[in-house]
Amino acid sequence: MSARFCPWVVLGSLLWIHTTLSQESEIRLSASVDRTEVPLNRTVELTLRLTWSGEPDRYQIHPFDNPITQNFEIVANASSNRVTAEGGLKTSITDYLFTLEPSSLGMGYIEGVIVTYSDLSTSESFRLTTNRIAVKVIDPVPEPGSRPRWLPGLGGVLLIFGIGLGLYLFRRRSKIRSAPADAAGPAKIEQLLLEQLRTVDLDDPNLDVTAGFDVVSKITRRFLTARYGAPGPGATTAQVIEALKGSALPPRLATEVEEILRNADLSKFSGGGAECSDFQRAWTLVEAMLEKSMRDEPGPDNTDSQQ
Amino acid sequence: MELDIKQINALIEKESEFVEKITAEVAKVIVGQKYMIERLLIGLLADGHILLEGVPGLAKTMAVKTLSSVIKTRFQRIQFTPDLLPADIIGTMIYDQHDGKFRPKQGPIFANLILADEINRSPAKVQSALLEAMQERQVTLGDSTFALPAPFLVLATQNPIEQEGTYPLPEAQVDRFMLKVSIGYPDRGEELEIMRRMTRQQLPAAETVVTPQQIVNARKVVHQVYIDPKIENYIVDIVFATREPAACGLEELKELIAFGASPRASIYLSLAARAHAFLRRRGYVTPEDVRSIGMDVLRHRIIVTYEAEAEEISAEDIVRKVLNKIEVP
Repeated sequence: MSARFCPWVVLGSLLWIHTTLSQESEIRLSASVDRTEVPLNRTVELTLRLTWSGEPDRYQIHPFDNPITQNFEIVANASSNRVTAEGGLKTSITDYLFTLEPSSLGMGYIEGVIVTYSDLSTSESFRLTTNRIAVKVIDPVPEPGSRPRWLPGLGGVLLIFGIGLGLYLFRRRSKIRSAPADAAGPAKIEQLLLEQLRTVDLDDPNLDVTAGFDVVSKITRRFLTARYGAPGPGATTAQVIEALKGSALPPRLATEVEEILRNADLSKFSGGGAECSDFQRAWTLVEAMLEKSMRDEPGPDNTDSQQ
Repeated sequence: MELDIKQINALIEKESEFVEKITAEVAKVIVGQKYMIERLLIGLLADGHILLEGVPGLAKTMAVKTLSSVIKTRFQRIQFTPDLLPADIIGTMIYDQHDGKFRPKQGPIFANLILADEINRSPAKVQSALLEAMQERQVTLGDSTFALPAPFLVLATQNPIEQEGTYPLPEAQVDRFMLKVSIGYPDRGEELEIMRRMTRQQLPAAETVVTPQQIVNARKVVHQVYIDPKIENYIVDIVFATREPAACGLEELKELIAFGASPRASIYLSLAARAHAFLRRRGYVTPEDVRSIGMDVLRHRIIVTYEAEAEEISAEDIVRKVLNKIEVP
């Protein structure tokens, strides 16, 4: 019988010895970070893990200070305990989590952490230390939904480029537009206005004096605006005459212009108060004025007024 | 056309003789301010009430008093104060002890020329009482309605609303004034003449040279002044540009105008332009007449937005832009 029980006794003894030896092994301390490179606008997680075999209350972990860091700031911490069993062996794990926020670009360091604990069965105290950990702080990453940092810069560059291009195109277009007029000489506007003036037939027995004065008045004002800088279509006769006082318009011509415009106003607004002879005279004066201007070289003042 | 232009011109020559007399008499007392005097005459001829605005001391009140003294009419001056009541203007019902009945007691508004001095010193209820009477040209006391005499013209003065102790006139009430005239400071020469004239021992006085009938006759001629359809369209273009500026190529004004000019603006532009032509001895209206009185007719009829106020753009700036933009016929 003793021979039958002998192997079982030996096996049981071995198991007991193994278990006892396992429970005597000390606490293991590890320190790890979830990344070795962290963007400036992100955080890094530091985990201090204490692992030992046996029940959680086998050891008493003494409170320890927060890790000393360089270029990091601890913004949060937490701890957790758990027990796992594998192959009949219990393992207790205690985690200390620290959330670290980088302060500036460059290298950051987490100094070694000292953890002390006591073995409650023997009342002995032990001391554990972690290694120094280095973490590189890199450029911040774009936040979700935010524009990339370079976008405003690119936008500015594009805007300047767009304005430049617009100005270039505008100048080019202006040059192209003015080119035919330049090519045709300074008398282009006179030629155009003369053609319009001659559409009014003075010999027409059914000549509408009011409509004729309307044409003559508009031609005169266009000519004065182009050649002598008279105010545009929003100005009244009095304003045009007033503006011409300081212009290069010869006094005799100024008097004639005033007569033409006043008679035109009389005809247009008085319900037909002007005579046909007045219109014929106005027509002739305007024709003479345009022809003379076409013959004469425009002076510097005239050139300015065209622009 | 009822009359030929030559006939109208002849009528104007005849009926406008008093204009020079008035101008000469007023000039005895008032130095400069020709613009204001001309506007007062336009109001008188076109039967439109006038609001004069300017800082104190610019002869607003004196000009109106002088004008009233040269016209042989019943003149009343009402000094608007914060404690004035509507009954103080239009009148009230008085209990007669002799027969035990209530009788109407007419207020100072029953006159030909009313000077409503510093109209913005009184609260809105008093302003409304006056302005409603101005519009209706009649006043109801108890169960009786009394027509106001003709000619009836209210010339109101007001100090700029930035000054303390004033009540801004409601926009709807301001619209009833044909013209709002802004009075500016005199130039250096005028200031010198004012100082000399007003420090004499005997102050200058104007004589009565015009009868109410002359004014009434002149008004009839003013209504005969010819206004061409082209000018009428020009007026409508201007008024519409204040309502729909974008349609007239003034997109930049779209966000600056809260409310454009009312149809009263068209009416008063037409009437005032005719009166202006009359003063120029002309039997027809030209665009110059419209532009000349355009600012005074429109400046108080356009309500600007907060955006305009923030950009310090006034109704006058807007009117100026509109007048410069709309093509004259």
